[in-house]
Amino acid sequence: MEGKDSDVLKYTFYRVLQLIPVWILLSMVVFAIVHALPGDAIDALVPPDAASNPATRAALEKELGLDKPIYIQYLKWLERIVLHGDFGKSITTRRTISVEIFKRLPATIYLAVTAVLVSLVIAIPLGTIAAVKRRTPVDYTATATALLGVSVPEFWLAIMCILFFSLYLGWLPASEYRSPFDHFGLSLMHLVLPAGSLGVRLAAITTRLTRSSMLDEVRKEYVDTARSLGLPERRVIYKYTLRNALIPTVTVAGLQFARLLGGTVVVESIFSWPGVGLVLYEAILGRDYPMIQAAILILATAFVLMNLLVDLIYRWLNPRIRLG
Amino acid sequence: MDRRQQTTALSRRTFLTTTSAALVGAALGGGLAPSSEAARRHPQRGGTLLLGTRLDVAGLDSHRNNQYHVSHPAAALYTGLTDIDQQGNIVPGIAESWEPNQELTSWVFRLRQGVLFHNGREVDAEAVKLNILRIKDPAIGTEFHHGALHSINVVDILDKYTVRFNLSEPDASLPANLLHYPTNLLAPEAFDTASEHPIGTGPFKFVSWTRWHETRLVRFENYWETDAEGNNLPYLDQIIGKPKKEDSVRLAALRTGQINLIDHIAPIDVERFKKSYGAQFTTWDLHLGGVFVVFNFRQGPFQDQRLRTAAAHAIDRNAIHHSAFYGRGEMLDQPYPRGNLWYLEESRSLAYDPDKAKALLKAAHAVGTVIDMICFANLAYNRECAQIVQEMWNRVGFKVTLRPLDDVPLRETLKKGDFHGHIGGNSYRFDPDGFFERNLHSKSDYTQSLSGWHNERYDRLVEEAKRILDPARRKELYTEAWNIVNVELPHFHLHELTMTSAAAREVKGYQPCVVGPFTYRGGGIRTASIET
Repeated sequence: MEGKDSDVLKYTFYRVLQLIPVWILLSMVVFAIVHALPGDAIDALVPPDAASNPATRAALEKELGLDKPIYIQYLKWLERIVLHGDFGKSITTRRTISVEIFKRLPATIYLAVTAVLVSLVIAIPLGTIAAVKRRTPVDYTATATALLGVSVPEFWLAIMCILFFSLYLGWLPASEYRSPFDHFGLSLMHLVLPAGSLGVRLAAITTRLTRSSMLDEVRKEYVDTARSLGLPERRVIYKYTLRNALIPTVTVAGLQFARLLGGTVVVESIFSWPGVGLVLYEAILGRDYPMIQAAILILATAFVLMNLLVDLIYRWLNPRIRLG
Repeated sequence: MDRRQQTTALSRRTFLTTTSAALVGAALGGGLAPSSEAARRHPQRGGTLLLGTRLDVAGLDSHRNNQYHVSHPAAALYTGLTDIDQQGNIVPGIAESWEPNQELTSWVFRLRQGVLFHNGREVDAEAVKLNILRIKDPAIGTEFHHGALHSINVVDILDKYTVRFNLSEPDASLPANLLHYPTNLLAPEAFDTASEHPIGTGPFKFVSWTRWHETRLVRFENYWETDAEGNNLPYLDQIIGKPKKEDSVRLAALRTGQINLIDHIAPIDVERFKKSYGAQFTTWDLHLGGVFVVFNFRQGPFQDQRLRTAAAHAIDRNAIHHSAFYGRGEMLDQPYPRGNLWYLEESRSLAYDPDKAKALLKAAHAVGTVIDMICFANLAYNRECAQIVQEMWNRVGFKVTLRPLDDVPLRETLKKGDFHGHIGGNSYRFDPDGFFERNLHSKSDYTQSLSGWHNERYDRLVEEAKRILDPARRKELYTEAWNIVNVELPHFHLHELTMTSAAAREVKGYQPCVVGPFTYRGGGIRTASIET
C-alpha cells in the first residue's frame, strides 16, 4: 500500500513538473492567437480621429505597452504574471483583471460543478439501465432521450425552461445569481434553471458514453466469473462493472467541467450569470487584449489541472491502472 | 453694430435667457436644496427600484465610456450643466443660466451654488473646466464626447461659479451638448479612480458594479433638486440595475416580479403584452432615434447618383415597418418624428418606385452591379433592415452581398471606406446640429467615416443654422439642407427607432422622458418611489 501511495505521489509530482513547459507553451499560443485577431486595440478604444493622430496613437501604445516588439510584450506580460500574479488592467473597464476574473470564478465554478453533477446524476443511472436492459423499451427510451438532449440547442432549452418553470408555473426565478454564502436556499433556486439547462445537455452525451462503456464491460470475463460465483446481479453490475465502466465517463465529465469554465457564455448571457465566459466574450468583441489573454490562460490552466485530477481519479477507480 | 448696441443686445439676450431659465425652473416645481439645511426626505416615498436594462456600461469612467441615459443604470450617477425636461427640451441643470455673445462664439454659464459631488466637494468653475479638458483629451473622451464638445476651444474661469466657453466657431447647440449625456461631471480629485468608483453629481451614488450582473446605487442625500413641497429628491432609497440582454428574459423577470421597471420590450412582444398584461403594468412608447442607409461616396458604384437614386426608389419603407419593426414607430424620411419641434414638414424624399429603380439601372447600364453592404451584427433591427434592403435591391437588379460585422471590424471597415452601403442609426439628438452637422457636414470626422459626402451648399446652410438661436429660422435652413440630402442621398432614412418601456404598478411617480431617458429634471427616477 505504501508503495502504491508513493507511486501516486511520484506520479503527481512529475505531472506537476510537466505542467511548467506545457503552461509556457500555452502562454505563447494564447498570446500569439490574441494578437492575430483582426482589429486593433487602439481603434477599439478611441475615436477614429484620435486613432489616426500619430501623437495620440503613440501615447496610447506606450501606455498600453503596445509600442514594444511583440516578443518583448510577451516577456513583460509573462514576467508580471509569474513574479507578481499581475495580469494587468482591462483596456475597456480599466480595472484590475485579476479582480475581475477571480471575482467571477466562484459563480462560474458553482455553475459548472452543479451542471456536471446534474449530468452525472442523470447519465450514470440512465446509461447503466440502458446497457443492462439492452434492446428493450427502456434502452430505446434512454437512447432517444439522449439523442434529443444532444440535438436541442442550449439557448432554446434555457429560454423554454424560463418560460415554463418561471413564468407558467412560477416555481423558480427567471434569472440572476445568488451567492450560496449569502443565502444557500435562494442560491439553489437561482441555480436550478441554468445548471439544469447545461446539465441536461451534458447528460445526453454522458448517457450514451456510459451505456456503450457498460456494454463493453458487461461482456468481459470477470463479469461472467462473478456471476458464476453466485454474486447478486445488482452487486455484479453496480459494485464491479460500473466502477470500471466509469473511467471514460470520468474523463469526459472532467473535460466537460473544464470546458464549462469558459464555455457557458450563452447560458450566462440568458440568466445574467456573472461568469467568466461572458466577460471573455465581451473582451473579444472589444479587443481587450489583456483581458482575453488572461482569461484564456486561466481557463486553459484550469483545463490542464483538470486533466491531472482526472488521471488521479482513474487510479482511485481502478488501482490496477499504472500511472505514468 | 456698435459697442453700445452690442451691450444692449447682450443684456437683452441675457435677460431673456436667464428669465426663461428661471421660469422653467419654477415650472418644474423644484429648486435647490439649501446646503445649510439637513436633507428633508418625503415621509412616505422611498423603496428600491429594480431596473432591468438591455445594456450595461463597458466601464465606469463616464469620460471613457458612454453612460447612455436610456439603458445604462449608471447614468443615474450624473447630471450635467444643462438638463432636459420630460419633453426633451433643454432646461437648467447645474448651471442655472447661460448667455452667449452675439456671434455665439462665447458662452458664459453661471453655476448654482451649493451643488455637491458625491464626495462632498462643491461643483465650481474649476471642476467644470477640468472635466471639459479631460473629456476633450484625445486619449480619453469617446467619439461621441468629442463630437459633442468639438467646438469648445478654451474654458475660462471668470469666478468661482462662472465659467466661459470660448468656441472655435459659432455654436447654437452648445447647451444641448452640455447635458449629462454625454457631458457627465466627475469629481476632479477622483478622475484617477473613476474606473473603480465614479463620483458624480447625480441623484444616486455609486455602491458597486459587476458587469452584466448588477449595478448598485444608493440615494445621494445631498442632491440639489427638490420637489414642489421642498422635499429632497430623489425619493428612492436605492436602485439596483439588472442588465439582461435577452428580451424574453427581461420581460419574464418583470412579469415574475424580479424587477419592477424595464427599459425595453422587444417590438414583437409589445402588442401582446399590452393586451394581456396592460392592467398589471404601465407602458410607455418612446422615440429613440432613426435608422438609415448610408451610401459610400468615397469608392464603389454608389458614387454614381443614378445608382443611389435607383437604390432609394427600390426601398419600400412599409415593408420595413412591418417586417423589422412589427408596425411600431413611424416610417421616417428624416431624423425627427412628426410632432417634434424639428420635424421638417417641407421635406421631399424619394418615394418607393421599383419600376423607376429598374429603369434607372438599365439607363446607367448597371444591372447586376455588385453591392457590398455592411451592417452591425449585434443589433437585431440593424441586421433585419439590412436583410430587407438587400432583398429589395436584388429585386431591382443589384447583386448585394451582406456582411454583418462586430463592433471593431465594423469601425475599421467604415474608417477604410471598404463598403458600398451601410445600415446606420442614430440616437435622439437634443439639438438638430447634433445630427445635421455631425452626420453630414463634410468636415465632421463622423461624416468622413460614413458617407464621405461633401456638398458646399449643405455645409454653408448647416453652418449658418449654428449661428442662429431662432428655431423657426434654423428649421428653414435645415429643411433646405435636408432637401439637398434627399437629392444627393448620402443618407436615406428608413424608419424611426422606438422603445416601449414598462413598469409594475407599484412603481409610482415615474414616467420616462418622451425620447427615452429615465432621468431628467423633475421626473423619471428622481421622482419615482415604490408603493409598499
